[in-house]
Amino acid sequence: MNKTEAMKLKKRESTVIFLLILVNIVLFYFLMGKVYLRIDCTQGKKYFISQPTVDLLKKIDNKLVINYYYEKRCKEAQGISQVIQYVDDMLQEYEAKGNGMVDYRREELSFENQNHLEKIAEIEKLGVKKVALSQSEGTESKSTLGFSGIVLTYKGKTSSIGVIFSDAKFEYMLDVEISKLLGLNNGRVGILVSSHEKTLDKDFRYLYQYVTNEYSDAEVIYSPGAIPEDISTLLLVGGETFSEFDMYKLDQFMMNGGKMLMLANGVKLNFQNPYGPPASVTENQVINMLAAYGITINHDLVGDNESYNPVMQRGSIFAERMRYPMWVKVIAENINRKNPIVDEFNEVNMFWPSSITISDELKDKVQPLLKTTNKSWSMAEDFKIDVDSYKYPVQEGKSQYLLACAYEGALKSFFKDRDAPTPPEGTELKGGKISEGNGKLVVIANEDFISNDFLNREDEIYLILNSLDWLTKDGSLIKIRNKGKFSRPLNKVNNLSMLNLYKNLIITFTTVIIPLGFIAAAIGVFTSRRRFRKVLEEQFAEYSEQPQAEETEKVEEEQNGEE
Amino acid sequence: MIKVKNLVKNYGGKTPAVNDVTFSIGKGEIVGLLGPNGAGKTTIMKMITGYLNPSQGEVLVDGINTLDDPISVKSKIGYLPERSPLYNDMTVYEYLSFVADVRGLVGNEKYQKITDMIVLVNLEKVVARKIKELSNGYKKRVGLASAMIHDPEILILDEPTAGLDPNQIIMFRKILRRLSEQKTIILSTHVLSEIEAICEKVIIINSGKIVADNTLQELMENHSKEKFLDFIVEAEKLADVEKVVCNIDGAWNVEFEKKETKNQFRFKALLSSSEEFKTKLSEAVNGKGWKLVYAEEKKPNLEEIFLKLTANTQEIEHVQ
Amino acid sequence: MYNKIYPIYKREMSSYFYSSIAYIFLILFVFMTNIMFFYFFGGIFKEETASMRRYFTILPYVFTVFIPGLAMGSWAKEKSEGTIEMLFTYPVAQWKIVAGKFLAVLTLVGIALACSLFIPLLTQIFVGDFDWGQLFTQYLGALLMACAYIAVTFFMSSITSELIDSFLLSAATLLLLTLAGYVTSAYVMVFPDWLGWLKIFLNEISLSTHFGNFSKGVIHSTDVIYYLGIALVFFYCNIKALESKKWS
Repeated sequence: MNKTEAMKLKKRESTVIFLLILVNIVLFYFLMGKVYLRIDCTQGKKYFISQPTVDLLKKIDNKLVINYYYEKRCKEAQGISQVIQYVDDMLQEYEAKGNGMVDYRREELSFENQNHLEKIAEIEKLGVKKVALSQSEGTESKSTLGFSGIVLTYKGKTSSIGVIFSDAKFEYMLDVEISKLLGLNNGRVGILVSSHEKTLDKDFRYLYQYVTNEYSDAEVIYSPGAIPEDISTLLLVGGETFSEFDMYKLDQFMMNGGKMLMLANGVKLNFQNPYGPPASVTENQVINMLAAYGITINHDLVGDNESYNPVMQRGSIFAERMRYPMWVKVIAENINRKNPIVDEFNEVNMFWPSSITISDELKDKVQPLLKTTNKSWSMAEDFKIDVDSYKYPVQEGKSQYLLACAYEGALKSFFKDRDAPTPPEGTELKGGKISEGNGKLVVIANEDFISNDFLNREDEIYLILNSLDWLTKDGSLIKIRNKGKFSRPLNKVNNLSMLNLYKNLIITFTTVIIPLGFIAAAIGVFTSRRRFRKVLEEQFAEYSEQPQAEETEKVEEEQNGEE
Repeated sequence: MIKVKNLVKNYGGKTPAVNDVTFSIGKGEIVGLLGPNGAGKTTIMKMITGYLNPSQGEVLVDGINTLDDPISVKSKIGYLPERSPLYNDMTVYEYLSFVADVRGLVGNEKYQKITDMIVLVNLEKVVARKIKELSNGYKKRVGLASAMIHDPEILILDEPTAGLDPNQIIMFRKILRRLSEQKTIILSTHVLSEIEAICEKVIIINSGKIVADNTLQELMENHSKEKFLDFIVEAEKLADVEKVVCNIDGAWNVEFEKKETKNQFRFKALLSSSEEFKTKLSEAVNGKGWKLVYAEEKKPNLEEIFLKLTANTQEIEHVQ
Repeated sequence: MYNKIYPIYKREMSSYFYSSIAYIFLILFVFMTNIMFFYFFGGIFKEETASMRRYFTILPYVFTVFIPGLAMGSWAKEKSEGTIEMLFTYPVAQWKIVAGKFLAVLTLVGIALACSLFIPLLTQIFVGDFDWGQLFTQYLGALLMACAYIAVTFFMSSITSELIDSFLLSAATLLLLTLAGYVTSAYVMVFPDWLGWLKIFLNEISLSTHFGNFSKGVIHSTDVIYYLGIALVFFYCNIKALESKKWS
């Protein structure tokens, strides 16, 4: 009896132990929330600090204080709490990798706490911005103010990242701020659009937004004659409107060690006048200047018979995808893997690009960036751009064309053998003419792909931003910005019908064939089981034959006996 | 082999299902647990097998408490539950193979055992059939085979013959008799002939208590002085007769047995005081103008003893 | 000693595969999830992106129906057919019986998930590159999540004796636990300030929020502990629930 009592006690004990275990698990769980372990399995370790950052942190030779402030309520918003978590994770890593020079402090502030208000006002002055967080829901609309931002202090200078509500590009933004504080950044970016029809506001609005987002001190410039002193890098789209004097200024800018990202069409499409020729050669002095440097944007249109973006046209029932080789899709194997600007791209789209030819002199020094496939053709006259002309392959594509390239090195002036033009009235030409200099150039023979009409993926914008990074910085930071941000396009097949075929194949296999496979397996299992049963039956039939007869006799006997 | 001490099982009702039961069973004995439905036979068996834990008291199997080491107790026991629940979607062979696996049989031994069992309980014909397609008798036999596959020292069979037809019952008994040579068997039933046919010892349980724990011979001897009266009354209506006869003092129990002819009714009375009953009976019959056609005192058989023992707990206590 | 988990596991598997349960589960799971993934929730070919994240966003909801459907009978059926009486008189420790059954269900879920692996595999071969590190954590997370779902269903099955009760109870519990995370997202409802603790609490206990890191490609110790913890607690409750029957 004692035993049972003991068992009952044991039972009660085990309940207590269970509760203790439960409490332990919960405690352990919350403890792990504080001290925890994260393993990042993504390619490129998106959620871990990267090598260029580690290298950057090595350059710090004084105490760098990183203060992270966020509003308490931000933590309760689901998407944002993860960002705060991420920022916290990353900053802890910065502190760990900072050789004792990085001091990370996290502060949770609340508008409701009177003691915090002063602090909030203070950090607001330093650049942390208040943002309305919640959105309207049903009849009720509520919005709360919140903030999440970083203030950096280094050698008495402060700098800030005012708004952090996304984990995208966080590491890059922080690194840029740190390198600014360390004095590693040089020069600003100027944006210049020169075209008879297009303007920055109207046609390149997204480009403007992205670039100014990234380079908050970027400035819009209206002519090369007015490039401010502290602008070191120029983003130039087109160049049709430049005067001779403008050209001289631009050339001298380059000779002075200027850096330029040049986007220009060799052939201009004529959308305005339906009766005129569909396209005409661009008259652009900058193209001539580049040709003099050794990088020629040809006055042609390139078509790629193998890799292109189809044109969607309304068909009878469904939208039809029309063949259109002049919307070139540059595929991974034609992207220069050795150049940091493009090495992580999987696909870049160009719309009516022209080809680039490199002079013999520069041939070995220019780094190609983007090329068409070797089944491409070019068209230098009699331009046809309508979709119907390309319904079926008419031109034979035989060669490969260069669409974008990068160059760093010696340049000979466009005005080497000419006199400087006379400046327009009211301006003065300062300093003498420089005939030779060192410049840094990225040339892309297409401007339409970043225009509002065609820009629909982030990857193309990254091409621009990466180029600007390559021009302005030493290039190591390019990798971080793109960290984990690249879309993974389905780009292994260029042929559209093949792609569709593969897609349908995959869908069919995974959703239909596999279930059918299970049905087949079921039939297999059932038949094999039946066969096995038959074998068993036969095997035991031998046993049953003799004893069975004996058995029944005995039963009868017994029955008699029973009665 | 099996010792049960002061076993109590309380399911939460007012009276425990098993109330202070003590008995012991020696090695090689074949014991019948006898009792009316709901007496607690199954509960006792479940406690021995370790499926249920006792509320109080203890069960020792081969000296091991079922609560201390349930696994080793379970491995000594083969158990056939009352309804013989089986996995219906398996074939007989698959099921036996599964039980052999669980019982830890491996390799050749396993297959030998399965074959032995199939031959022993005559399952050859249905070996490849799904269990759900089998008749009750075959299901019972599969249950028995699975209970014996690991050659247990103890076999616990809960109502092994319930739901079987006479042929199958006889076959079953034959198998049990064959087994009884080497094994300790506990068998529960409410069919008396079963006990008489197989068991050497009987434990009678009523309302959770033991009312008799004897060998069959002893039991018969103990109750040899008991008598019952077999009599036939001739009257118009059975209901009237029953009303009168059942209220006569001097008997434990008076029961209508059958209609002999249209107006003759046979009764059986378990007597406590033979003379008193007989006098009162004849008085009552004569008073009503009926006729006592036949009356004879007989010695009780097991059935009557059982009836008497389980008739009413209080009275039995009084007798003991 | 001879491992007793395996015979139990084997029997469970055979009962799934010798009946139609396994096939119906696998076929419906693969078919329904893939249809949802390819056509309704903006999957791989709609977004033209080599990523399975959408698939794993649907998965918790698919699990709330399919896992109770698969595992509801684990105990309820044994109890209603009485076979549990046989099972518990075999010389096998209870936890081993539970473990055997658990592994069998997990295997089936594993097979179903493995079938979805053909999507990235074929896509990788033919049309686009995947981040396999991320895929690894996604599948690992899915398996851990499945463990938690199975454990909850097992427990519910062990305290009911009707299949439909068992299914409804576990599906409802799982749905609540899964939706807890969804409710807290700002789009569904706005929590007043004084209920902030509730929001955090719901977020922490939800079965779906803890999948977020796995889905991104990060293995976070808290999430692993959460899923294993849920699985272990319910596993233990399951054993206790079965044991309490012995004492009743």
